[in-house]
Amino acid sequence: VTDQAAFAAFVGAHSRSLFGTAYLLTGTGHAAEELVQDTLAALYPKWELAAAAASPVAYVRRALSNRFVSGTRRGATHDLALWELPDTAAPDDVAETIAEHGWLWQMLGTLPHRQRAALVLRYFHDLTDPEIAAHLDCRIGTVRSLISRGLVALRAEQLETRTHANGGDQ
Amino acid sequence: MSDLETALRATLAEAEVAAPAPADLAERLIAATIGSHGAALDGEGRSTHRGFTPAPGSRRWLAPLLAAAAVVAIAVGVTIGIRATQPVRPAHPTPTTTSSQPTPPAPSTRALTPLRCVTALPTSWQSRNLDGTTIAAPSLLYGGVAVDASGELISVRYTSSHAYEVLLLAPNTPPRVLYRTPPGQPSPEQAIGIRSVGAEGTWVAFTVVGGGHRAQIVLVNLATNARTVVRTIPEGVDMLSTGRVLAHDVFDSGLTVAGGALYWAEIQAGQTHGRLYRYDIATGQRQVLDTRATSGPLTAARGAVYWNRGGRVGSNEQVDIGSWPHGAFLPAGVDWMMHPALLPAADGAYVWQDASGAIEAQRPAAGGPVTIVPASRNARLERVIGDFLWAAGGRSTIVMDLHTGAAARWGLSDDQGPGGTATTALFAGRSGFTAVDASKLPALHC
Repeated sequence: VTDQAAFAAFVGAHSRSLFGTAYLLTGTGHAAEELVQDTLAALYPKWELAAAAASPVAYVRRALSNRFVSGTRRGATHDLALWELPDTAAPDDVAETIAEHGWLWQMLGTLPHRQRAALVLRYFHDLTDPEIAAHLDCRIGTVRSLISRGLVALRAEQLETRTHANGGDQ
Repeated sequence: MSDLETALRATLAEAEVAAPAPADLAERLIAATIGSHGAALDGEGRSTHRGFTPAPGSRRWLAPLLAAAAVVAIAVGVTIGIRATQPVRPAHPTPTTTSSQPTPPAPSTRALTPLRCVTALPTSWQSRNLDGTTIAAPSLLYGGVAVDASGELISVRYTSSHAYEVLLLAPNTPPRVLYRTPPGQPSPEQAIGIRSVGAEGTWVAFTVVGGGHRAQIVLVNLATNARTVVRTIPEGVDMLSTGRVLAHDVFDSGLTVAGGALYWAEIQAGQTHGRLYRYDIATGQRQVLDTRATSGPLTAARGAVYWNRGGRVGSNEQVDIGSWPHGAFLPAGVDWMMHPALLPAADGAYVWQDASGAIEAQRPAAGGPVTIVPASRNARLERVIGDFLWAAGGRSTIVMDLHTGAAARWGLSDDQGPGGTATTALFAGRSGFTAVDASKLPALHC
């Protein structure tokens, strides 16, 4: 029997953190909430497994990441075309932020799920290759490849964008 | 690290901070999950974390709503008892010596220093080689507990028989059950829960809700084991809380014991503000401190109690430091719905995050606020314990010494930092907690 109270206490404490990760993966608030909801709904019948983990929140985050890359979430591909540009928390230079970080944010949305998830886990959660491999249920070599290809794609798009921008200035 | 990787880190950190999480996210997730697996919430059924008196019109889906609301109340309402250390009074006051007026804290002359540098986390922090008390914790405790100087700890446990227990935990002794609700009944309408625990010295107070009865505030004297029902909440009235997270797994209570008195706020259904009550434990007298309260009371350092007062919850409003000194105000302009809390530091200062994201600190009646962390750093204030604040910077958590301005990357397995209060840090382990007097935490230096 699932312990509803323990589950509720966990969600109360960690929902914002899980939502943040889901938002980085999916790109929209609606899709993020759906991903967190789907993940919790899948884990809930055997919640004692999550509760018994060394770090329950890491356990759930791993399930969330895995669910995202598994492609079982409905409408995932469609959502990515509608990535929301987040409001920044009082940036020093709004124009610069939009030009650089906003661009990167949009580009993340164009990457394949597994590449994006690997980048989020590496550059947001600071996970190691083995940890990312566990999250994405793949080999360590695959993780390195995903991150490398993701960065190459971003860098290529960055160069192209700057070339266009320079051409426009001239 | 390349420029692209650096920019990517910053982009992800900013996006995560700005992620548009609904204010009632936890409640929605809990209700939807449990509803889909258990009592099957009505399609229109939404729970509310604030009220535990269902509106008359809600009877149609009362049973499933209560099933979800019972656990939602745990997530957002159950608070953790804090047997707060009171440096200016005995740790265990007796009823006859309880003062009706809180003793003002000793003034502090220590400066509040803005963020100056990022340094290495001292080895004593890293190894957890800290001078603390270790307490074994039974299973099914709600996280976020706190201790007093005698090393005792208050928490709430949900038992396998669907009953709730308020526990007193102490080193090397079995848990002592202070209160136990009747075992859960087959019907969710009969569920009885514990909500809003507060404690100080020999006194522990909590709210018993559900079971088809009106909510009651119960006060327990640890010295005599005597229990008193201080208040039965009238029909159509709820207790006010803010739903703010005070620390890791610690939610504000809406019920506070401080300075020998019990504080709570009640609001009539449909009203925008309510009454803030103070119950003097020694005399049994109840008085109304405020008729325009918009949040429940919170305990600040050294017995101070504060609450929100404003036209409506969510507006930018001033904060009344209720009992120390009465009527003192911190600056307006803080969006309390966006940012989690006004957090007390050990020396009487308060720390908060303003609408721009900057982390500010101020000692009441000691000049204007000091910007501790500028908004451009994108740090999210998590908690304040002693002289230290924890802030999530997106990809990492930092701990900062409020008085030296030095910060260090936390980087420990409990990456969100310890739980605790203004006076006690609690480090969770596999088998229990280590409680450390916040004044003994090693300082950080540039």
